[in-house]
Amino acid sequence: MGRALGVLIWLITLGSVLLFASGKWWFPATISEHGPEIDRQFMRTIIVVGISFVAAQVALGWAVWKYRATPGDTTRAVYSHGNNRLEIIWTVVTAVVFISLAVIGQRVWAQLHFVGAPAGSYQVEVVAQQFQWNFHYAGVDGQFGRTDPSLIGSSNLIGLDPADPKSRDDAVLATLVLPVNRPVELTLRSIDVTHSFWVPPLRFKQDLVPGMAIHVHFTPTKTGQYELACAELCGQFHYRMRGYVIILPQDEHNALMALPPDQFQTRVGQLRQQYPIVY
Amino acid sequence: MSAHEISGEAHRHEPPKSFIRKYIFSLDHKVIGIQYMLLAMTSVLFGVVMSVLMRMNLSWPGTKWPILGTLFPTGAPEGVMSPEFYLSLVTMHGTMMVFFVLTTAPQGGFGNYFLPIQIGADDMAFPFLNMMSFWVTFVGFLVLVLAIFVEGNQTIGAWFSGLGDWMQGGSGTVGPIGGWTAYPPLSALGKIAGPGQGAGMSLWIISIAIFCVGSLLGALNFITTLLNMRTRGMSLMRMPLTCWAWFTTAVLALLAFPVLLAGGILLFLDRTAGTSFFIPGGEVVTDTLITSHQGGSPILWQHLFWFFGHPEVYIAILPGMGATSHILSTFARKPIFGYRAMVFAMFGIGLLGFFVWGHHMFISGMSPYSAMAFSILTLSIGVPSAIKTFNWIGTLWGAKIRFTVPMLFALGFVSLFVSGGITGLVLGQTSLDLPMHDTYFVLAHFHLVMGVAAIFGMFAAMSFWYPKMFGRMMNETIGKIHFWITFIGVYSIFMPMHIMGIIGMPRRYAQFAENGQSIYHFIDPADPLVKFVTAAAIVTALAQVLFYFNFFWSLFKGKKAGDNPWEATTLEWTTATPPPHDNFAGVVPTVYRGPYEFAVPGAPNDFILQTERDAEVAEVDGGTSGNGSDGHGH
Amino acid sequence: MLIRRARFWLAISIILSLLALGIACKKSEDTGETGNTGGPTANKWKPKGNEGTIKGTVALNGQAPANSKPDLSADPFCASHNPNLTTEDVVASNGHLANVLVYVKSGTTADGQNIDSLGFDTPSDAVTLDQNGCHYRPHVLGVMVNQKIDIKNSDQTTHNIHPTPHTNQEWNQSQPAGAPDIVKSFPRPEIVIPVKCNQHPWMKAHIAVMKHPFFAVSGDDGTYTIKGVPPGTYTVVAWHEKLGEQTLGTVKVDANGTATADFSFSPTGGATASGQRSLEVMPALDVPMLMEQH
Repeated sequence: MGRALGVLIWLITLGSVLLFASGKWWFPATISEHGPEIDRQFMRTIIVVGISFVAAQVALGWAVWKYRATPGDTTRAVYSHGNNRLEIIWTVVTAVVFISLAVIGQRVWAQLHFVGAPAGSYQVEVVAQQFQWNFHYAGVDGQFGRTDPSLIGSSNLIGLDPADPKSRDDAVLATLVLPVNRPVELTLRSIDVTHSFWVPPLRFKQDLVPGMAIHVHFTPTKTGQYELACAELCGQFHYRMRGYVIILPQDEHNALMALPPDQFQTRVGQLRQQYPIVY
Repeated sequence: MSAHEISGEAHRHEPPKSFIRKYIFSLDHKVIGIQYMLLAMTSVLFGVVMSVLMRMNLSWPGTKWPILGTLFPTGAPEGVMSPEFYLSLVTMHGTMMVFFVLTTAPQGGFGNYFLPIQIGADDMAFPFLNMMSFWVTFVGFLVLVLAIFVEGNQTIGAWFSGLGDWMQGGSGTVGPIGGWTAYPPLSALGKIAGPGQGAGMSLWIISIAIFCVGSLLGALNFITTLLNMRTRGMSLMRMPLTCWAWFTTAVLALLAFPVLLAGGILLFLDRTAGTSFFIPGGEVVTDTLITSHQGGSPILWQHLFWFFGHPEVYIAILPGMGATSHILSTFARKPIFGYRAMVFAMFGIGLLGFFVWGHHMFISGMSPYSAMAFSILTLSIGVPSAIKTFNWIGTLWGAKIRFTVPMLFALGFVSLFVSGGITGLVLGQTSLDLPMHDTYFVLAHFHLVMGVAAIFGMFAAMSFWYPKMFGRMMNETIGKIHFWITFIGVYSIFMPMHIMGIIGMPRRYAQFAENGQSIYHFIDPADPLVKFVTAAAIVTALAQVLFYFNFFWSLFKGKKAGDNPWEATTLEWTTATPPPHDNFAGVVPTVYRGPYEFAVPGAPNDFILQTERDAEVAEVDGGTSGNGSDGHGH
Repeated sequence: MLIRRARFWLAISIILSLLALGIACKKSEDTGETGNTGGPTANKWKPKGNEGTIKGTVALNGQAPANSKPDLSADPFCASHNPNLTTEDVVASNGHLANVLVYVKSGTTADGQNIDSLGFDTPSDAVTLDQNGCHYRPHVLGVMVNQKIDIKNSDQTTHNIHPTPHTNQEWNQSQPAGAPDIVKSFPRPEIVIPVKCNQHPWMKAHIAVMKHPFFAVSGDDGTYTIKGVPPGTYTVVAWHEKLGEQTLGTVKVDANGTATADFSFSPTGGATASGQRSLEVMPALDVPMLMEQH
């Protein structure tokens, strides 16, 4: 029994390590400036995790293999109440490793969250609703029109005020179009319940909270079309609250931005056909 | 602490019928403990069936499951599970498992039964309070079940709408929708926010509030009993680690549940009384402008919930740690490694557990500076957890391990606790939460550590104490088969889920494909894993039938157990099997030593009961020494 | 022991009676129970064979406001099957306005009976509400109290039907492709229940639940016909989801005759539409993420 359990624990350990190390399943390739650093931090952490996991399981497996009681053996176990020195060494080592991991991991977080978006960032307002993403583009004038919740309806999804001159050239689409290699500042809002903006290759996620306008920023580094998912339970169709993010070369993006709202929408439709979904 | 006035009946195992009649409103902590266990065993059945249904929908979306269509004509028309049906399964699975299984059985069940005995008391400090805490919890359970029917059946729902607007009738799905976390505004807005937000959600909140009250009563009782009713010689540092675990858990429950209770009341008021604690102004839901609410904060709920929710994780796992430590030492035939360190680590985990709730909220819109503080505190919690693991393995080092069923499950606990806990290092980091938050990685992490490990703790405890509780041994062969399948099964379920999370699969998605086409292409690579996990889940779930069979079969057919079948050392093994009504038949046990005196050099046996005097050690024989086994019918 | 038992039962019974009291109090407050068709059932209306007709045209004076063209990218089915889909807020052509609900609001029959006091039979045949091309068909639908509505999904995508009534029960159900029809009815009269698909934000329908059968919806040519109206004098109302209501005070229907009631709407809408904009909405809390720009 002891040997079987020991071997089983080792096999499970081996299987788990192989599963993680197979290379068959991993993150989608990252497309943001901060992504590689997150991936590196993940690797650092997963190595520490892996070593601790393997060490603990191998030790456990070894103990049950080695220290099983055998029939006929009348000798007793070692009488020991512990070893304080080992205990202290072990505590200090884990404390140092774990806390340094936590501290190292803060760097990317700080870079994303402790400073505002750089000047000249491209701005888009994200307005989530059950169960659709709406992206509010400022249009040619670069200024967002006024919105008012009391104007929201099935044909004015974010409540854009038609009386505001700044809103005339604004476009509202279900697709997010961003320029490559330029910092992007998103203003995240929700009109009903909490949603979460989640683009796996961007390595970025942020809740959209009703009553709050949350500003976030990142820099995409690769062109293409990517899928956007909701990562906070928002109701029955949470699973198909789908959106698309198209990241364009800067010149193509500039040309797009110069278009009036109706042509803008048509052009984005064409771009969606033009760029295959990367996954 | 003399025996209080009881009808000095000889306490035997009686036929079920009279047992129910006599012991339904019992004040006996042992009966109440068993009632808690039965409640948990009922809830866990619901929970497991729901999880299998969820796996089936994820693997084969759109399939017609014949029986489902008959049972839930609106939730699963013609047997095809609707997304709202799936989400109500998610909600009820989580609620049942976290509250009515993981919080009731380890603490209310085993704690209730064995804490008084292990400290040498004749009952809990407040037997009436003890009974109330179970029955209050039971009412909470009934209300939760009612939530399914009120929400799921339009006729019953309409009947309830007579109670006033706040009940809002049934939405015609199957139960409330909100996950076990019930984030507002979704849960606060009422039916307009979608299916599962009507009467069922109101009842869900009421159920949780009632549960909080029950747990509070229980926690008060545990703390008072442990501090005031220890027998002669039972100093704090001579208590079994199980008692320390139950005590720490009770302290956590005492501090955590009131916060959830308050949060629940506020949420209920938001739904029914027009207050705005969690609902901000300017909400537009289903094209309807909500004009009756202004100025609330959805994040406030998350703070209140997780201030409770994170300690709750430890409420679920700590009793399992206690039982594991206890059982490991017993079957390793070796004193526990670093008793003091174990006690301090347990308290350290409990204490730190109150300062880390923010790691559930890194991306919630909370201040990123506090996220940093929460992150560092969270990783610090790994230190006491590592101490515990180290000491468990230390306990096994140089041992003479007896591979009984409880020992197998305790060893499984250690393995699972490591596997599940260690990924906390990933999830506790602010930056890594960006890709990992709300993915299957999280799902795998908390299921392994607080779900499966805690359940293994319960299996270990159940097979360990079963002979003491029911006077018969559980069947060893069935128990072992159950262990092997379950142990391999849970790893097969939850290890691949980590990988799904890395791929980016979000949790709480009703399905990943529709009409034969995948909804998100980035999830496609996970497809074989999804199917594999479903197969493993079905096998593992079926294997649990073995446990239920063993439980009931052994009640009648199990091998008769002596007073101390495991050759263990603590007080419960010094009294009769099953223990008499006042536990020690009127004799107050006296404790002379620590709880894990195994393999003492020079002693006649390889174990020494806590009640044995030094002088007695030399002349002890077999398992029935001590003060408890004779002198029934005081 | 006995005292403890007694105390316990006392506590239980107090709790139960409080609960019962609570339920009873709430019940008595709820007087909104209107069972069937409203009026006293004794006064059941029966056609006499001399019924007339109200018909007319609904006109739109001026250019219809353009419907918006939503971005369909979230649902590939809608995008490929109905690529030119627009919202259906105002559907008009050549000055004719469609999707206007015209109904008899009040009035007296020639034999002196108030139409409100009459009871009417519920038709046994169901009315169909189809989801086709990512739109509800029809867009505006009149049914009688308790009349069955047969809700179909003809699309290869998941739809969702979510009526948001005020006096009837609200419900919300999803209907995947190939799912069986959902059959529902509304027990209380209500003009008009908005219906929304939470999956497709542009998808809206309106269901009028009427006490009597005297209603119709204008077609694409703006015409409507209400048949089987007993002779009498009525107030007829035309309702449009965006452009408000128009009322004709006296429409006289002769025995076996045809009365004409034409309506005309202005594209800027009536006074009713703008009346709801008085709310002061709290501005969203602006949370910079984080601190000052550098």
